[in-house]
Formats: sequence, structure tokens, C-alpha cells
Amino acid sequence: MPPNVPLINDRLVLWVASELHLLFAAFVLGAPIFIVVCEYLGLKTRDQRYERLAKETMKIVAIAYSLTALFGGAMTFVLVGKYQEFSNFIFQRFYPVFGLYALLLLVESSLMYVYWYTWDALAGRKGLHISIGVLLNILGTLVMVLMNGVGSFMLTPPENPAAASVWQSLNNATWTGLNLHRFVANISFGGFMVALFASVMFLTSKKEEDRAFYDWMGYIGNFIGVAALVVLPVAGYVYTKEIFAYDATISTLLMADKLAWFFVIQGVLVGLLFLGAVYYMWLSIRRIEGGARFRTYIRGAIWVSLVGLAVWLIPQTFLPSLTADPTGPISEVTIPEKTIFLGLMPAKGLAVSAMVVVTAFVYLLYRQAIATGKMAWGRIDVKAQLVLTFLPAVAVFTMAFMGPIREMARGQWHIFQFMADKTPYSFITPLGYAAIVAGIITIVFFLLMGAIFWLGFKVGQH
Amino acid sequence: MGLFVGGLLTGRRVWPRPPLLNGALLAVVYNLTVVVAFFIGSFLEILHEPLPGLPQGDSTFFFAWPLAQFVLATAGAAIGGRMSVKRKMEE
Repeated sequence: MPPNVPLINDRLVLWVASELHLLFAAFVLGAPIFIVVCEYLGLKTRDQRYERLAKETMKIVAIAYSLTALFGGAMTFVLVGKYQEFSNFIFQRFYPVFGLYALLLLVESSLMYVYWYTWDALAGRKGLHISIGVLLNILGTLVMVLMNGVGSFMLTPPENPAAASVWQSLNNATWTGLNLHRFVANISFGGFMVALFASVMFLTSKKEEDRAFYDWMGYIGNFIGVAALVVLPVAGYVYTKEIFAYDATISTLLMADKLAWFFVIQGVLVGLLFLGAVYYMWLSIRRIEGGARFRTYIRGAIWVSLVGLAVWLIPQTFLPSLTADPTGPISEVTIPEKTIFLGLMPAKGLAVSAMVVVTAFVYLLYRQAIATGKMAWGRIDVKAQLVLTFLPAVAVFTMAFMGPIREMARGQWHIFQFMADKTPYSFITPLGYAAIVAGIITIVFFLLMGAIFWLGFKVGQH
Repeated sequence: MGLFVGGLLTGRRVWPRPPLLNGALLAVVYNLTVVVAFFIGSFLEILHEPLPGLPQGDSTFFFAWPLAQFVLATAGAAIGGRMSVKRKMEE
């Protein structure tokens, strides 16, 4: 990309291509876990809805797969063309890893198509079809784990990266944390995307029977999304601890310096996910016979989530960084002395743990309501379906916003304290810029997903 | 440990109703009480910063422990429920 094109530069192109690749990759890795579980449940419970859910979701995955590869290719082109020193080093260092990656990707892609195209042919041999799905997921996870090794190496390389073995480079200080975080996040993301698909189909369905099915599908998608979301902060915590143990200056940059405000916004976004999930359950529990009696508890949980969100929003200071001019105009904006503790980690830790705990509690309440009352599928408040479109939008924006935080945590390095980023773009962008880019990525992703839904379910019906 | 035992006892008592919710409620009430107490104590400036025995800015105590307590109380209730079922069947 010519550097003189207004508003567009190499980093931005790489940023957008990488994020779109990661978003689609998260979907095609997370959703199949969900799909195989549903197919298995369909076989075990003889409930045909699981089978239909699994098959319809797989149809979307099959189309989204090619877009994942497309954006992966775009990302590689920019890396090779514009970041030659870095890409030369990384492809040479991880040559066997990339070789294995290509091989696994080939087998995984083949299995994905076999799994999709034999759905009807193997209807009488479900055990075999589910086994193919399980194998597909194992390979998908391996592919992700390999690339996480390369990504985490850039932030936390071993001592003397040029001389380290491939295994030492791969098994770096934050590989485990990143694997854990991405694995859980992919499941949550897959669940929310299924809920999005269900809500779109619910809102556009004309038949009562379809509305009942898509209401149920949205419930299952949200159920899985929230179940994984509740675990996600723990995975994030493990990952952050690993970063802190590797080099505390990275953590300082993330939590107390130039990226601290990014984390405040990230906290708000994650808080919105929890709040949205609880709000969905509050709205939709009314369609369960006898469920209304639980609403008082859920209302309490909404208040706890709102207060938690407010605490998360309070910064330590309003200064943009630790080295900012402490006498500048922004220094006049201060937090009342008595409430400064709300901007510190203990208060934030308690706020987020309270949000997680009440969300998990509401989740159990909802299950209890279903176990004891009769569900009127399809009679859901339309607002609850809109929440199911809001949650994936926030999830996508959060992922698009968190990606650059992890990248910018390296500061002015391609590979932390080993290979400097000598391009003119090796700086931490302003918060507003990052938010606009994340917003554009979210819109593009939704437009593409909309096109996939349209192709798969509207065009195909005529 | 207290929450686990509490969950276990409530789980045994509430049978044949599902026990999980009771253990979870126990943990929620405990957790929110601690949060309110900490916030009031910090606002009135009667709490030490950091709390005695904790390093400055410790996140494990404030983030990981409440989640572990929730898991323990819920697990306790589940085990208590199972023990109750076993006991009733033996009777």
C-alpha cells in the first residue's frame, strides 16, 4: 500500500486483515465444538432440534471457512510485502511449525468439507459422523495452538531468541495462557454467533414453528456463550499473570500507563457482555411458566452488574500516560479523594468477580426455572432477540479492540526487546483511533456475516 | 472451606429440590457482603491499604478467591445433594 494514501497505511491494512482473519477463525474454530456437541445431544436425546441447530450452523461455518482463509492470505501478503525483515525471521524461525500448520490446515479443511457434505449420507451412521467432527475440532485446536505459539513468541520470546530452539520459541512464557484464553473465548464467541444467527432468523421468520425453533436456538447459543464467558475472565487472569511474571514493565504499560485507558474501555465492554446476558435472561424468563418469581433476583443481579460496570469505568487518573505532563489542563480533572480506591485494582477485582458470580447465579436460576416450569418457545419478548444481536456486536468489537492492545503491548518492538519496529507506525495509537478501527472492523464483519446468512438461508430457499 | 461445608449442608437439606442454587446463593450473599464491607471500609478510610498480609495491588485475593469460593460453595451443594439422595435411597 503506498504510504501517501490519506488515512491508509501499512499497519492499518495489516490490522484490519489480521482482525478479520482472527474473527472468522474464532468463529470457524469455536462453532464446530458447539456443533459436534449439539449433534451428539441430538443423537442421545432424540431431540431433532439439536440436529437441525447443528446442521444449520455448520452451513454457515462452511461458507465462513473460505473467508477465514482469504483474510489469512491477505494478512500474509502484507506481512511479506511490507514487513520483510520481520516476516523473514519469523518464517525461518518457525519453518517446521509453519510446515506442520500447512499440513494440519489441509487435513482440517478436508475434514470440514467431508463433515459437511456427508451430513445426510452418514445419517444412518451418526457415530462415524460425530467422530469426524471430533477429529475436525482436535485438528482445529492444534492449528490454533501452533499459531498462538508464534503470536505469543512476539510478546514473550525466550532468552536470546535467535539461538533458541523451535520448541523453546513455541513454548514461550505466555503460550499456555494465550491458548487457554483463546480456546474459551472461541467457544463463547461461537455461542454468541449462533445466538445472532438465531435472532436474525427469529425476527424474519413468518411461521410459528420456525419462531419456536429459533427462540430455542438463541437460548442454546446464549447458554453456551454465557457459560464460556463466565470462565473467560479466569483465563484472562492466568494470561495476564504470565505476562506479569515475564516482564512487569509490559503489565505496567497495559494497566497503569499508555494502555490503561484501553483496559478501562475493555472492562466496560466485557461488563456490557455480562449485563446483556443477564438482561436477556431477565426478559426471556417470563416465557417460562412460574419463571416470573425469579425476576426479583435477576433484577438485583442487573443492579450489581451496573454498579460493577460503573466501578470498572473509574480510572486511576485522567492522565493519558505515566509520563504525561502532570500540570497540563487534564490534571484539573480529578477523582474525589475519598473515592480514589475505586480506580485501583482491589475495587475493580471485586467488581468484576461480583459480576461474574451474579451472572453465574442467574444462569443457575434460569436452569432452575426451566427444570420446574413449562417453556413457551417462540413467545419471547422481541427485545430479548435484539439483545442476542447486541451481544455478538459487543463481543466482536471487544475482540477487534483487544487485538491491538496485545500488539501494542510490545511497544516499539516487533519481537519484544529483540527486533525493533523501524516503521513510522511503531507507536501506540490514541484510544479514539483504535476504537474507530475496531468499529469499522465490526461493521465489515457483520456485513460479511449478513451476506453469509443471506446466501445460506435466504437465497438457498428460493 | 466454610462455604464448601455450608453448601454441603444446604445441599443435603434441600433434597429432593435441586441443590445447586442454594450453594450458589450462599456464595453470592457472602461475596456481596464482603464487597459492600470493603467499599464502605475503603470509603471511610478505616481499612489498611493494602490489607494486612497482602502485597500492594494484589489481584488474586480480590478476583480469583471470590470465584473459587463460588465454585466451592456450588460444588459443596452438589455433593451434599448427592449424599442426600444416597442416604434416602439407603433408608
